[in-house]
Amino acid sequence: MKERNDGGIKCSEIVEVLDDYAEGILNAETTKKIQNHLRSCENCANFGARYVALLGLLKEQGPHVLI
Amino acid sequence: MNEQEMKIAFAETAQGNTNAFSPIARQLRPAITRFVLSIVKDEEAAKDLVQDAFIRAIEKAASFRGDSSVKTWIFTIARNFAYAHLRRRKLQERSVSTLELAMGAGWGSYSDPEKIASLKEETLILHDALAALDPETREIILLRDIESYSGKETADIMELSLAAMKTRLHRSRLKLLAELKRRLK
Repeated sequence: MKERNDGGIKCSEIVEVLDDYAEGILNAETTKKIQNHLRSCENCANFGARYVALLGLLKEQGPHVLI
Repeated sequence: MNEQEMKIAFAETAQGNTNAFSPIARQLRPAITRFVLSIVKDEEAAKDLVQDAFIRAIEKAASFRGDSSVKTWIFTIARNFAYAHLRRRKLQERSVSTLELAMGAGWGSYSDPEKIASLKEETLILHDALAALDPETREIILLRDIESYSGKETADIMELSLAAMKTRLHRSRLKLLAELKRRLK
């Protein structure tokens, strides 16, 4: 799988900052780069959506998911 | 019982009134038991370890300086007991890059976020994926993502810096995604 460098940021860098992006704590410049990357890189867009969906699911399920 | 009430009751405990600890134990027992159980995977052992942790907390109450919340302090004691119980050599984490972990978790292959969302109806898959994780990986997800402790509280309980906690959390979430991917095929 080839890594892309869309929007001035690489796929590996996107993966690294997913948490901060999801929390909305990155600066405006980096956020813009990520948004541009996600618009053109299907791999990262799919993966980001999956990642965010997991966080939502864990929060929604709560502790009983462990029992 | 809010944090202030807990601190007052714990101060009374430190002065020898062990009955003052009862409401603290009552309030914290469910969450601490879930937490310890997530590490040791043995219900009976978890109950015993939580009880041991409460006893240790009473014994050491006088040394509590209030730098953290009472809850965090007792969680930390329970965590130490849980890992002592495991008596296992710490697994040396393989040196795998985050992108490699992400590939294992579905980056670069077809992945449908709807599949994750649909797990609402199939919590058994999520339960199994969580159970398959090693204790440290499961522990951080339990604290931060399931019990919704703040980043600072999670780092305090795990005795990590905030930065180290964030790195471990990210890698742990990727490992959980990989386990889910395996089960969703």
